[in-house]
This record gives sequence, C-alpha cells and structure tokens, in this order.
Amino acid sequence: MNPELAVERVPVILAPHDDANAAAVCWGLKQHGLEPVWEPSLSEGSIEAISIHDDAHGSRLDFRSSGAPSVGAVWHRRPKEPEPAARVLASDRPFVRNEWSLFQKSFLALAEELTGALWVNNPRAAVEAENKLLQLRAARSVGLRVPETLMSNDARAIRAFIARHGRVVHKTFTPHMWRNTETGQLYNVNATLLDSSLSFDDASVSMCPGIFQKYVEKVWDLRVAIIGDRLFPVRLRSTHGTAFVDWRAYTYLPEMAADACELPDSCRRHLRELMNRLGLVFGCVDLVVDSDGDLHFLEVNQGGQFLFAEELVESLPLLKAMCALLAQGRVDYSLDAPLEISMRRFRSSEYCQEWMSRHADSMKVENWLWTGEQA
Amino acid sequence: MKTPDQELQKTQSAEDEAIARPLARLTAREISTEELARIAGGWFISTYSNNGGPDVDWLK
Repeated sequence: MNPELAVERVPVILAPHDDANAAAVCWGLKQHGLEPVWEPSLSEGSIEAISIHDDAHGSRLDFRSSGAPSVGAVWHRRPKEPEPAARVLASDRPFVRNEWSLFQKSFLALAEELTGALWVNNPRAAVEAENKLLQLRAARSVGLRVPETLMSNDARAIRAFIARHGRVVHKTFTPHMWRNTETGQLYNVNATLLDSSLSFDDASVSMCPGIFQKYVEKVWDLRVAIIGDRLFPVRLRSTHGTAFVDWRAYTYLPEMAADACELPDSCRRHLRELMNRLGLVFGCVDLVVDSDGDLHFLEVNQGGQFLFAEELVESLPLLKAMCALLAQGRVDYSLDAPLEISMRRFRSSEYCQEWMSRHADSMKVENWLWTGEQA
Repeated sequence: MKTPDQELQKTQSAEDEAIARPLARLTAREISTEELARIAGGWFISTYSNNGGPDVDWLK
C-alpha cells in the first residue's frame, strides 16, 4: 500500500465491464497497489447480499461480499440496471429486475450516508446536475456569465429568439446518434447554428422541444475537467486559430488544436462555487471565450468524458488525478506519489490489451446499440 | 467522408417530408463508420447513464 494513501479502503467503480474509462481508472488504481471492486450494478459480481436497515436511529447498510471490502471512494460512473441472477426463471425475470432496480435506487438515494464513502458523484446530486435548466440557474447564481437561453417547442418563440439574437445555437438535451436501417447511414446530432435566413417547419419544433442559446462569437472553447479540488482547463480551437461551432466533431482530427491553459482566478472561484452548489466533486465544464476575453458558461457534464483530453494534451495528469481522488477518498488528494499513471502507459499496458481483446465485439461501431433505428 | 460543416448548416424543410420530423434530426450530420470510430477513440459505449435512463456516452 502506498504511504500517500490516507485510507486503505477499497475503491468501487460502478460501470459496465466494457467501459473504457472504467478500464483506465481500474488499471490506474492497481498501480496504487489497490484492487478495486468494479461491477456494473449492485446485483452482480462479488457483492453477495445487501441489507439496508431503517429505524428511528436512521438508516444503516450491511453487505456481504466475497472480497469483504471496506468501501473507500465510489466512482458512480455509469451503473447499469441490476440484472437478475442466472438462476431466476425467465417468467420471473421482469418482476425481479424491477424489484432490483427500485432497491438499487433506494440505496443510491442515500448512498453517501449509508456507505460513509466519497461518491464521485453523489447519485442524488448527479441526477439534479443532469438538469440543464438547473445548471444554468446555478451557474448564474455563482456569478458566471451565461448566454441567454430558450428551451421551447414554440415555433413563434423560437423565431422571435433568433430574430433578437441573430445567430442562435440549437442543442439537444442529450447526445443523439442513429443509423438508418435501410441504408446503413449513420447520423450524428451536433450543436447547429441557426439564423433568420433559415426556414424550418413549425411542426418540426413543436413535436420536440430543444435548447436554443444565443451564439457567443467565440475565439475558442474551454473544456475544464474538475476532479476534486483540482481544475484542468484545456483550450480547444482549430489549427487555423478559429473556434469550432461544435468541437466534438473534430476530436482526434489534426485540424483540432488543444493545449493546457490557465483560468482567471475569478473563473476558478466561480467554478468551485458552482460545483459546491450542485454538490459535485467531478465534472466537465464547457466554456467559451469571446474576443474580449470574457468567459461564458455553457454546461457542466457531471458524468462527462475527460480522459480523451489527456490524449490531446499529454501533460495533463487527468487519469492520475482521478485515480488519486478514488484511492485517497478525499477531494484534496495528493498527486505527489511517484506513480507513472498516464493514458499513454495505460494504452500500452498488457492490462489494456487484454481488456480490449475481451471486449472486442462491443468496441466495434457496428455492434453499438443504436437508438431511433427508423429512417 | 463528409467534412464537418463550420458554416451554417442547412435545414431540410419538413415540407419535403411526408411526415414532419424533429429539427435536430433534420439537421443531423451524416457520419461514416470510420469517422465515428475515430472521433470516439474507443471511449464510446452505449449504456445507461448514472441517472438511470438510457443514454449514449458521446463526449458529453
């Protein structure tokens, strides 16, 4: 056990076994000399039985596990709905699955209190922080500049909003891709720039609400990974020096330029206040910077992608920071341990090769689960 | 492979469609399998988000 560790309790990762982020963090925790518990849900793997006692003194958790771990920090990455055990009859499975689902939700609602562990993130806070409107209100309340936003399915209101602001970004509440089952063509929804010269049918917007936001004439984007008390900002723009409308479409392309940068003290303070307000210890914040140097908040993704940023800017110790947070179970974690934990080392490790070969099928784009299959 | 459009993206009038469709799907970008795999960089997984609903982990 590394002497830097304040606790010797086992970190837990709640994520599917084919989750690449979880694989990287699991590898990193092993570099700390820890053996994390990595399970998709409460019903699977080494966790054998769970009891939640509730009485006048409060709620208390007991669980039996083959490894009998004392839970340290929990990375609430992407838990799946619990899957009934194989011995459950097919006719009983829908009922058992639903009971497990509600039991898991009960547990997650009081997760921090029941486990005494640091949750990354607290499940209740995570649900609330997924709400885009609450995010915007929280950001404004801590002093961040936020572009005027309209969430609507009213074509008249949307047209008036575009007329008032000139250029408007249309965004969805959740990422969306689909495959046309007849042609096999894939489609990806990005943030789209709209202006008054564009026509759209009233029915297209009235059937499905969207997010419409005043477009900030930006010079670059900032992606800030906040891991515990540390902030890791990355500047994203094209190699021509201009900003992308939506940088996600350019990730890993040579025309994307990414570099580490500093945030003004006021922005760092505002972002910390935002995280406190939302009850988050981890999040990926999207900001844009205009030509005057002013920063504008777009959103925070409490379960956002962050390790790709280390692959774009290798000097950023993002994987090391997340592993330190989980290993030490505290937000003011130390990065002083002389451990070589990086995405480059993970990608070249035997652990990664073995993990990739084990999940080769689910890594193939053709095998991903697609939504909205119709043309 | 189509290059992502930096300029204003053209919206397809729903009048061209037999049935009106959501604006976001009308303005979606065609993407190749290779491009998707490249952008995802091995990080994508289609699964459940931690708020318990179906989700895609698409560089959120």
